[in-house]
Amino acid sequence: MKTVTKTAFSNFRQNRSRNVLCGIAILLTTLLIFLVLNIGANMFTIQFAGVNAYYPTYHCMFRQVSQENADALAVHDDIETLGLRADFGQVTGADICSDTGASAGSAASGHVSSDDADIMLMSVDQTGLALNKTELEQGSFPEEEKEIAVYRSMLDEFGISADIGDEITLSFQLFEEGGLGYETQDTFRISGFLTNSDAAASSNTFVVLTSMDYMKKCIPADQREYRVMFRLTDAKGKTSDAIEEQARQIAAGFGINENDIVFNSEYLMANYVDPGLTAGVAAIILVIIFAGILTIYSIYYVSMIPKVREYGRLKALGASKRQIRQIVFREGLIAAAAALPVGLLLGSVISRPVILSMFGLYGSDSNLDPSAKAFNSLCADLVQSGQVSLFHWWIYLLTVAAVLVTVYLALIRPMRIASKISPVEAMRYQGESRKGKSRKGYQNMNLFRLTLAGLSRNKKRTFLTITTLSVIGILFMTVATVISCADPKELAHEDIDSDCRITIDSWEGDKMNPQRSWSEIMKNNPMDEEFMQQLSSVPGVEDVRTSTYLAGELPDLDPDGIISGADVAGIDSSRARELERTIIDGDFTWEELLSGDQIVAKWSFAVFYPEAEVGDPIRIRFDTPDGPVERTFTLAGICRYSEGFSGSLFVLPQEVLAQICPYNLTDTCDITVDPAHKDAAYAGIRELADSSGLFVLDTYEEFLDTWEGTMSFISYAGYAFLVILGAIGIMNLINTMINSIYTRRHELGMLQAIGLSERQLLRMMQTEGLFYTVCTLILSLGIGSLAGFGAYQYASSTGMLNITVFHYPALQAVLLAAVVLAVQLTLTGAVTAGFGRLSLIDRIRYSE
Amino acid sequence: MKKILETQNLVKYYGSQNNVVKAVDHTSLQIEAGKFTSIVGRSGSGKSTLLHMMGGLDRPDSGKVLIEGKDIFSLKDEKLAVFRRRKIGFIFQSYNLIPSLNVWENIVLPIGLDGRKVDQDFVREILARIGMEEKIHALPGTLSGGQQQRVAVARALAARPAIILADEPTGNLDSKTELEVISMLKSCVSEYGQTLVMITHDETIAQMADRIIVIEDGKVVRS
Amino acid sequence: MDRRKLQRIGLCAGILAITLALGFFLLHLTWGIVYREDARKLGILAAEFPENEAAITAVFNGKTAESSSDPALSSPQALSEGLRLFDKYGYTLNDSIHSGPIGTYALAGALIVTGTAAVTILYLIRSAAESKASRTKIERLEEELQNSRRRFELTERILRQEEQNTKSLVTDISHQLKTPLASLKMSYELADSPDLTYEEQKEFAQKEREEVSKLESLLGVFSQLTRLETGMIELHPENASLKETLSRAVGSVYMKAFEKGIDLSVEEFSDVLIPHDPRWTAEVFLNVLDNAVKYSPSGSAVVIRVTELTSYMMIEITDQGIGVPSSEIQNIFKRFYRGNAPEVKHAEGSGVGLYLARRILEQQGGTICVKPNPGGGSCFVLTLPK
Repeated sequence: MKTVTKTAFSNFRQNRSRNVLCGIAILLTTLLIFLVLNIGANMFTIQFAGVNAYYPTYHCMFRQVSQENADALAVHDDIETLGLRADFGQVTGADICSDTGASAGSAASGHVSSDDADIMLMSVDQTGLALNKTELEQGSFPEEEKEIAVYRSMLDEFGISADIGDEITLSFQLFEEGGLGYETQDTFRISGFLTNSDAAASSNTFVVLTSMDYMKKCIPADQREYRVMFRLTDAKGKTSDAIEEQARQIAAGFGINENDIVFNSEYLMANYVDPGLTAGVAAIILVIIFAGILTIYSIYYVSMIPKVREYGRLKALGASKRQIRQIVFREGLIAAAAALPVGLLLGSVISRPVILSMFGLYGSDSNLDPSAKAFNSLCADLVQSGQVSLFHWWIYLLTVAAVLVTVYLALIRPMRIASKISPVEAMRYQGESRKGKSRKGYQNMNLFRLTLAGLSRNKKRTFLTITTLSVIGILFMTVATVISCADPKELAHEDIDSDCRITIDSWEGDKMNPQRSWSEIMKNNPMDEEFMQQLSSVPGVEDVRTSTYLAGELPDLDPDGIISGADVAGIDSSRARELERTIIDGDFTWEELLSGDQIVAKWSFAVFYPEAEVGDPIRIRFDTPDGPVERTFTLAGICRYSEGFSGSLFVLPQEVLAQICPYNLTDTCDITVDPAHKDAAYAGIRELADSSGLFVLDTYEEFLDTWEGTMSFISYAGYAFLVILGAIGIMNLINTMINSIYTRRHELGMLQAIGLSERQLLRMMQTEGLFYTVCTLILSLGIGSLAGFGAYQYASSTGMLNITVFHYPALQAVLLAAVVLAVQLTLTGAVTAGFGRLSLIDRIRYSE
Repeated sequence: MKKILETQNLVKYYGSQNNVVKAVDHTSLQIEAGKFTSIVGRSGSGKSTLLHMMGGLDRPDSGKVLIEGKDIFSLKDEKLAVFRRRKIGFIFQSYNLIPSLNVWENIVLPIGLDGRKVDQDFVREILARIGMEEKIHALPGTLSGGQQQRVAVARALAARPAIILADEPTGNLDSKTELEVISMLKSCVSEYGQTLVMITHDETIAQMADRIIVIEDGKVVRS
Repeated sequence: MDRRKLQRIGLCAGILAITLALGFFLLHLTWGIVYREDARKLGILAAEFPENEAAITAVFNGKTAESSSDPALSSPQALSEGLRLFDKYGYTLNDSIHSGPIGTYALAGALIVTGTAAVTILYLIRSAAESKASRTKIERLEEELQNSRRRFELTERILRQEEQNTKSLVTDISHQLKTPLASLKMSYELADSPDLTYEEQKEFAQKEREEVSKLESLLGVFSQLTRLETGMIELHPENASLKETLSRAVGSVYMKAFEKGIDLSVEEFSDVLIPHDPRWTAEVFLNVLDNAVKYSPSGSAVVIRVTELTSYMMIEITDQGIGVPSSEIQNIFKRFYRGNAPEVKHAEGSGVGLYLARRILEQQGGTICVKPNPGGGSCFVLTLPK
């Protein structure tokens, strides 16, 4: 055995340069594969870990469950754990309690206005608290009847300073059938402070957590309404779809309304396999791995001729088949053994900062709502603190396996060839020559025709090299196209139509914060006339454009409410022409829309509901404070308007919406400012935006920043990826060129003996190289451009990266061509010069 | 006697201080124009090295090679290649032909590299003499050793060089084929008035030459 | 040379002229446009401000300095003021280039210049390539000339060599003749002496007869040789049967072989028609066979084997005689060479047979060589082209 290994080593050392080249190729490929796998997998893992840390851990929640049902569910076989939560009242005032406790009668002195802060009185049982991941800053959860846990910021809001153990008096209204009951008061002792106090303050929603006993005391059993949060038994390994299905079945069994089923989607997605997503990601990873493998294989393939000769020599010396195999693999392994660890190490080192920066970047994106920002910084923290390991053994294993398998496959071929022919023939192996008997040929020979003949000699090898290089080139063009289509300015303009924009931040279905429901807000809309006046009078503001909003469901198209809601934006007539200009299907005029029986949908409508066509009736059930209002419209057309124009699925004239719901439906103000007075204007607008916790201010500059940041990161990542790919490609080229000269040493030497001058040799090599280059470029630029265009189409149809306009990456294409040409020219020159240093005789003599 | 090729004190040593191999050791000889000269010697006697230097394929450590009175190593590489292309034809022991070109193309390759047009009649005449007219389009892989060498001979003749240098051209052939190739070579060369210098270690073949030079340990022993 | 040069000059001049003409023409057009533009602007301004008609016109036709009411508006100031106004209204240089009709003309002008430059460059490249080609041609012609000269020199040398050969031949022949003549003379002189017995006289007479016959045969060979050497003999190759030629030779030598007890045989082969001179080729075979018989002991065998090669016929004549030592192989084909072995010295021969054989064969495109027979003796290998 030792001899075998020694032979392998000495072989390796002898072909040092070739093996170094292979080594570098393996290293880069390993790096690439590893990085892609690692970062990809880690992104998921970390996010999932973040989700697990951040989001509650229940699978599903049923709302409006009676006490009876709740008890029954608790013993349901399929339900593993069950937690209860009851929102049973609203706090209207708070006051500190004097030691005597005699606060009865004293009116609430906290300055709280009911439309300002929202304070829910709720109780959650222990399981519920655990499932919900509710945590305390300090103290303990309420156990005794009169204990409560509150937010510190709530006390601040009331101007109360109290600590654990202190007693405060709360005035509240209990929920009764149909509404709120009379205000009552009671005294409680603070047992603990809840975390996320600041988040609560900024959204102006608070919670007072009481004990379950207290709630039971206040609300009679038959009036209790719980939120039931539960985990299914034996859920591990099930797909998220299966879990949802099971939950629905249970709900149906207990007569629980579809609308009252809420899935903890992020949690489910994080922990249970989503087949579609996994498939997509796996596909991308496979493509990349394939490119890497192709490269390694082709590098080894190109140096096949010397390898066959080696094996012939070994065989002639008397090595048995098994020994040869061992030598082969050990030699290949040595290259891999050197390159793999380095590649893996490099990859591991690089992964961490890359991942951190990705989270950091998104964390600083002020465009995201606070919860998302917090989530991202949580993820970053998880990584930093090491709670989530970035290193998964299976990634390393997979990478190593992939690379080794490739090297193995690449080495098997020459071995098989060598074993088929006698040792002597193997030693003289010249490559798989054309099986032709004859050739028509030319009457007169010249250098060019000689070159052509040489190229056609080993068609397979030529083909493989060109294919590999082209694949890389195509990938390059595709990525380059996507990157250049994403111009941050354009992308930002997609997000926002004006200079800045104030929107009312509302969301539905949050029973913890029902006051954020649009139906609630519109009853007392802060975006009223007065506000408009103030806004318009800010110096520098040139124009304020409003749009209204109404949400609802599509009972026909989307009865379960899973695909999309029906959110309708109401725009004013100043945008009429703009709307008309963006029509992609159907035809209508503004005037027709004003009639009130026609509606316009966004381009994504066609994606969501592919069977729906222009002219179909669209029935929408609007959520209004006065109850649901149903209207049926005819789909007049589908438009492709930007997010900045409107983010809603449907668009109607403001007048039509106003007819459906009489409240103040204004939810967005698009503000244009005078560029000369931008700063002053922004300051004033910001002030106004801060006046209500419901407002969110977005500016064009913020979007631009984000996009520039994102794009720079994406381009940076993309180009880094491409550079590695390019390096691999170049190495492939180097290897091909070197091999093409060195295996034809004898022939070339002989050619020179019969009269090929050095300059002619160089020309011949250059022509060959040029052939490779030109073919590669044609394929890369040709197919690559098409692929890039295809990618653009895909991106724009799925709204990825807000891409809408096609930019051909002309600069990158020229750069690619120039670099490839330059590399090839210098390479050829260098290799030929190196070859020229060998004396003619050495070339002829060493035909091995 | 007209010298067409002359070497003056050629020296070529290989190896380092302790293991010097004197491949060519102060060799001077003259080759007469129009005659068949054979160089014999045992393996390792340095004859190949000598021949290669005579053809300008290898540079000597010292000494000169004069062809038609011109010191070939005073020429730059480029000019030397052109000179070689036009004045000298080489025949090696094996792998003379370009595998991807057919017989015709192999034969006219040196002419093509020189940028000259092929004298079709002349090449056809040579082909007839070597008996390969049927195989003009055949690829070297389909030819036997003897056939390949014959094509090599044809190639050396086609460009009408003044000197043909052959390095054991029949070393790999059986005796009958060997005889044929040598006979062919000799008669062609005398008909076209060329000079032939051939290396061989087969004394039977050597005797067919007009003059035999014996090399031993890098020196001319008999001439 | 002159015509080409003239052509080239003419072409360049032509192109230059055309370019200039076009250039001038464009310039003229452009100026016209500028003028008309000014006129248009003047018209508009004048219509707008009729009372300042004169002042405005003065600005346009350049008479501002005198009639300007505001001396502060000197040219540089006016310029900066104008630029400022342009800037204020967003009228950049770019815009003016793109909007005015002058843009088109400028483009046309640029195109013409580029076109001319391109044409010129192409032409220059072509002529450079042409001159390079002609230079190479000249080189090659010189080479050809040299080659022809060489061949001519070679022919000259051969002729001179032949002359030399003839001279040395005459010398050699006379030398060769001297020996037998001398012994003849001696014989005569001795025979003249009266002291000889009848038997002694008869002995001498016999000796003389032998010498004369030797002289005769020598002369025969010499005349053959001479004729061949001086080119008087021409070989007349015709497609003839090899078997027949071989038979002739075998027939001539068969008796001698039989008398000596040597078994002479020819291995069976299929006859071929090859181009050769039957008479002289038979002579060749005869010479070799003669040697084989001469130098082989009785009881040995001489075998003739004919093999067909691709382009040649190979005739092998193997004997079991004294063989040829390797040091002499080179020499046996030389003229008048006779080996040093005692058998050779004893035998008759002129030393010319193998030399003739080689000359005749080579002149027909064949060859002859000898190699040792493994069992003792020699094997002569002769080839003749098919």
